[in-house]
Amino acid sequence: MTDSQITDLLKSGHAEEAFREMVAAYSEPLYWHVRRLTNSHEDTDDLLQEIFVKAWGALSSFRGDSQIKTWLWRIATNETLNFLRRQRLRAALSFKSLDAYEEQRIDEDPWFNGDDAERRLMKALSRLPDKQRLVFSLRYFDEMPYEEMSRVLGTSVGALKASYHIAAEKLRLDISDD
Amino acid sequence: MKGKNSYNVPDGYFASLEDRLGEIPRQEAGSWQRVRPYLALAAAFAAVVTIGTAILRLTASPATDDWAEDFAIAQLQPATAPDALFDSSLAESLAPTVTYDDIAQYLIETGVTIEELEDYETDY
Repeated sequence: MTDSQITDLLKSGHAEEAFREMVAAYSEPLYWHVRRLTNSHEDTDDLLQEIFVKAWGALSSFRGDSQIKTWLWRIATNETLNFLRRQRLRAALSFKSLDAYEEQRIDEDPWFNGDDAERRLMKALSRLPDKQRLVFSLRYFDEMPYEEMSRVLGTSVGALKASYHIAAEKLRLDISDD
Repeated sequence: MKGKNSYNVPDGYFASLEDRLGEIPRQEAGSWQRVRPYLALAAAFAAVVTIGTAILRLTASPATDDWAEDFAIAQLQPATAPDALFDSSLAESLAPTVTYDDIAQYLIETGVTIEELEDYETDY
């Protein structure tokens, strides 16, 4: 079902059905998007639950002035950024540097099946500031157009392009230092 | 390297994920149903307290300055002159000024019958 069909379902008062269609269309793509940021299958699973609970709660106020996907990704972005902030706090409380904490999570992830180059990329990605990490992931892995990303993140296309290129350059230097 | 190539997921994960997430509307409705009685109780309690406080404030008799002043002065009177402690004008102002017309009106308004009055007169 397309976004406009889901929106039509919503407007005709079939909220539950619209929600289930949203879950069917976007739970998997959203999983992968969040997964690359959390470095944990279990945390991603928990986060997805929180994201869709929030989405269900906010569905009655969805006015259809944006696409369902944009609206959902906006909720997911906020929840994921909150998660990353809590990660930072958790790392500080265990007296570890955040970089070491994230690297350990990547090394110990039983569901990671990438090769060494991919592991180094994910570790370097985890060392980027949260917003740059988000922009790079959306552009490089999800291939999201800048215009759509601008609507999701509420940032101008120019700023996003700059952020992406800075992130890419940092990653290149970080990986080549390894 | 793009896409999801760097990760595996447990077998059947996405099917079960869709089922679990699809249950959210029902779960959220259930949790709201559980909380609603407590919210209703809290709202009722708040209403009772608010209305009760308003009634108490509206029906409280205002303290007269004169009475306070008289009382203060009475406290200064020596114990050897007890009569001076009691202000006759105060006593008169506190005496009931209910007339028989007032009583009759009250009885009519409260629906007391003539028969009940006769019973009262004979019993008391």
